Amino acid sequence: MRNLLRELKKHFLIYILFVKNSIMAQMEYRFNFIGNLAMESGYLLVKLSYVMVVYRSNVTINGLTPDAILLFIGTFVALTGVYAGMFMINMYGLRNKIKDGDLDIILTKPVSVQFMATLRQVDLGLFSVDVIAGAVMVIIAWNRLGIPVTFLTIGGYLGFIALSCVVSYCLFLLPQILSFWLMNTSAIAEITDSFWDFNNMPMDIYTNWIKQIGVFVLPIFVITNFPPMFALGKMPPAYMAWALVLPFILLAVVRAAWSKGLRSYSSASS
Amino acid sequence: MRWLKKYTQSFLLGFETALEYRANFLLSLVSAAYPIFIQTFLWTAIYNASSEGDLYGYTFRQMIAYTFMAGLITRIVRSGFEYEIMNDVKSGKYSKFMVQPVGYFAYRLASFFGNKLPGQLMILGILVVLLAGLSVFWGLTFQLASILAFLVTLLLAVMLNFLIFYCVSAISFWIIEVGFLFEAIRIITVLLSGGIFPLEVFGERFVQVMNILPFKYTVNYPINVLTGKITGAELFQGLGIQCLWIGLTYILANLLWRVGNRRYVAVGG
Repeated sequence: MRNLLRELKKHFLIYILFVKNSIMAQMEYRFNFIGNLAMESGYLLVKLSYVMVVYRSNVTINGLTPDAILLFIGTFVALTGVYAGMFMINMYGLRNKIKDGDLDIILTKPVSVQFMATLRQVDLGLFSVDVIAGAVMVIIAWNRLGIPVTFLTIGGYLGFIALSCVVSYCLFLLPQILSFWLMNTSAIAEITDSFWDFNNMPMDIYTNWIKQIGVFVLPIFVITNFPPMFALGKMPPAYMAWALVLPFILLAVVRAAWSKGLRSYSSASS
Repeated sequence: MRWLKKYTQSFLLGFETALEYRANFLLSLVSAAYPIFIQTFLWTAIYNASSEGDLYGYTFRQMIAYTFMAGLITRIVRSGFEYEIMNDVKSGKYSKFMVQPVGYFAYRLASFFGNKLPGQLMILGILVVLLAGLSVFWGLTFQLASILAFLVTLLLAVMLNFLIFYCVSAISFWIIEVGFLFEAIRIITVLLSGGIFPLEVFGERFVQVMNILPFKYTVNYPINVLTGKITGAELFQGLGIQCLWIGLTYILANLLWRVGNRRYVAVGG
């Protein structure tokens, strides 16, 4: 247990360094950073257009008022910042590292290879735009819905956000691990990436069978639906149990797939 | 007509490149289907929950038809060559066009149409199937005159969008790494053109502003011509505005590129 804690502390400190290095690198190419902010703001505008449609239509969808839907969309926007700024950028780079043999250098480092290859870069531009905008939307919706601000509601919501981060990391890393066996996975990545947008709206707009597939088979809906469902008190016990178990199952699957993939790594370019 | 030959070759080259990357195009069609899927479910939920049969001047069936058509037409008019221009300017490859007897604008235009043609034909095929399905299963009717007018407006829409992004691509002369900015501009123009939701959803004042700007005439206007929402004098007025914007963006593109050429330093050449 003490060893585990020591390892966690070490990796946490290294992660802080990764963040610092990423920010320094981005500040060096300032116009790239501004361009990145502009691009993410454009995407944010599209997400806000969905909010506008919901409010202007002023209808209650399967028990969800426009304010409740805003809570879902705000959560989606904030988690998009986490996904795009912390995970996606590394996952895009991973397939090139494997293809070009750049993983060699990481293999020699005294830290977890998976940790370093999949979490090394952080894009502050992508992260900050969405997380700030999402947080503002969540706060507005929370206030308008009159959800009590207690340790349980806030803590529970943030707890589910943390679980969602783990689920999104695992779920979107899995297709990238195929790069160990396939030379070009960009097509697969493009399709799985688009899956993220299914969370643009609450899963309640879909039919029941799509919901069940999105929760239990390809658990994409778990990521941005469960935190607001908990805050709204609309979380069935089965979903609650699934939310607690799923991150551990996915972490185990990803770990096993990564280890298997790494054994197939042959430093392609050398 | 010898001058035309070199641009025909550019057109053919673009056409062959598009055929070479056909798998990529098919996959991009799959990812384009997701927003259509999400919006279809969103509108279904909204119309089911609403007591009114008509929202923003669209019945449920018209709204779903619009969603599908917007997804397809956004793909047809989409540019993409701006990244190639950025690379030409950044790497210094643009220099060769300055010394060769080739007009860069005409070369880009020919290459763009050649590159787009296979994909556009495929999407038009999908659109025909969609129209047939909407007609047979939902009883939506499409007049032959509207279809013919739509084809004219669509051709002008592709040209207009090309010119808008030809103007935008001139930024490459001032900013070296401009790819992110291109993407930001692209996504905003898709929204303003009605490529995600009908413009009426955002209110009357917004529509009035969009009536003046060129973006609506790349997606929303051709769709409304096809569905028969725009006919008669309004149709010809729209065609006139499309042509006017084509003329204005052409002049603007010339101005921007002339100033941009003076700044060009052939960094990588």
